[in-house]
Order: sequence, then C-alpha cells, then structure tokens
Amino acid sequence: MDDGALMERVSRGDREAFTVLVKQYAPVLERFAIRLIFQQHQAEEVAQETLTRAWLKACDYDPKRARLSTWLHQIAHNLCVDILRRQDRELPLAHEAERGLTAADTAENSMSTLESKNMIVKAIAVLSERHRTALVLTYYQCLSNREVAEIMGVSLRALESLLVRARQQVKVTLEESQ
Amino acid sequence: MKRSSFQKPLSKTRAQEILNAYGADPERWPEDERQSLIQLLAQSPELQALRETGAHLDGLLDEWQPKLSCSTDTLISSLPAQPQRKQNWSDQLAAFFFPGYMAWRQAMLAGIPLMLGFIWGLSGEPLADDWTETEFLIFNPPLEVITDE
Repeated sequence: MDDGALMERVSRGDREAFTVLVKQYAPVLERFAIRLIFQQHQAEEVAQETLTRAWLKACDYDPKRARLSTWLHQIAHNLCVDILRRQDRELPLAHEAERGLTAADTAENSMSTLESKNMIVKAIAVLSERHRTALVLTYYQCLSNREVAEIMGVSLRALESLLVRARQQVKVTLEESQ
Repeated sequence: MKRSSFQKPLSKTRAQEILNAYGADPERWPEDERQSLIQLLAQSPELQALRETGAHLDGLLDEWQPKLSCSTDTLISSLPAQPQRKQNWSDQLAAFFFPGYMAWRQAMLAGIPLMLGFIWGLSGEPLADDWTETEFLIFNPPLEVITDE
C-alpha cells in the first residue's frame, strides 16, 4: 500500500491501517530518537508521540509534498529537539550514551566490541545537535540528501557543510580516544 | 517525489566534497551526481584513496545499532479519538446559511433516488399496451365534446 492510500485510511480512523503504520515505522523512529537523545525511555516516548500525532493529524498529510517517512521524521526530529532544548543536556550526553549502551549491550558483546561501540557513541554524542542530526538522518535513516535537507529546513549546500564537519569531528574524536 | 535522472558533469573538487560529506557508499551520494562520480572514481587514484578513508569511518559508524524496546501494543490500544475531518468549502458555505444542513444532508441524499423514480414515473409513457378495454376506459376516459346546443 502506498503512503497516500495508507494515510487516507488512517485519517478515516482505520485502526488496521494504523497498525500497519506502527509496525513499519515505530522501530525506525525509536532508533532515530535513540541516536539523537541517547535515552532509551525517552526515545520510545518520542516514537509513540510521533505516531500518535500521525494518527491525529493524518488529514494534514499530503503525499505530493513529502514521503511519509520524511513527514514522520520531521515530527520526531521536532520532538527530539524540544527534549534536548528543555534539558539543555548536550554536554552530559556522552556520559548518558555510555551508560545506556553499556547496560544494554554488555551481555551480548565482547569487551573489545563494546569499547569500540562506546567510542563511536561518544564521538557522536559530543557533536552539536545540528551536526548529529545531519549525520544520523543521512547515515542511519536511509533518507536522501533532499529529504534530510527538508527535515532540517536547510539548503543542500548547508547540509553538506554540516555533514563534512560532523564526519571530520567524529574522526578526530575517535583518533584522540585511541 | 520526482527524481532527476540527469547526471551532472562533475569536477574533482565536487567529487571530493561528496566523498567528504556522504562517505564511501554510493547509495548515500546525491542521485543526480552518482553515475558521474562512479566514472570519475575509476579514473582517479586520489579519489579512490579518499573513498577508502571514508569507507573506514563508515565501517566504524555501522557498529552502532541500538537495541529497541518499543512496545506498540499499548499505543494501538490507547489511541485518542481523532478530530472531525475538515469540511470542504461547499459544506462550510451550506452550514453557514443553513445551520441544520449537515444533519439533513444524509436524508436528502437518500431521498434523491426516490425523487428521480417519482419524476420518471410521472413523465414516462405507459410501459404496457395489453390493457383490457375496461382498464383503458378507466385510465383514458373519452373526452366529452361540449357544444352550445
């Protein structure tokens, strides 16, 4: 079922269509939120709130203007930015990231893998919110550069500048921590 | 969304910008520059080296795959009621002039076939021509000619 048809059904209160939407996008949105705010519980809330808003505002979705994935990421991004601004916790994120990751992954990974993961997570956590968002949307969320630029409200050139800077900074942080 | 299949000619500087921004995976490169960059890469060892550096960082970034705990059952079972759908302009206009219009709309729609049937029944020719003489006289009484006599 295409985006437009699915959301048309959702806008008419079709719970079966909404279940399809949830199964498809809840994991994608939760992963996106974890990578931006580094807190499992809040990331889950972001995914749920995004999908609840999609249910309530399904009439506003226009498939001619954006893919459903872009629209949902835009809502989730705004929610994540609100959380980050409210808590003003860009600096403590590295610690938060390490704590969350260690708790979840220790049982399944060897120490060397875990250390390597921790380094990556920390390197991403110390990025500014704009640089992190550009990197996460482009690298992990399988969105095109045009879609990422649209979600962030920037030009393609500005997005590329953010990406170059983000990748450079991650590289430097990883080199420093080795 | 429409995507252009037109491939822009690419300078070496632009190729470096793309590799530095998007990394080594062609899937992430801008679609309208992808083919040109692939062709340029085949001819330039310098760009190939830059791509390898990008691939190393891509590999490290790939290692971070967070665990999920998303429980969707609660979300689906506790959905709030949806707001009413927006009326189109003709409905808004009708509701403004005739406040009870929306309540009567369905009844009016249901009445349309009834009205059409009634009109058609009145205006149509009789369907059967096998009337008995008595029926014919009842439904088509002879006209009396009134004279002054």
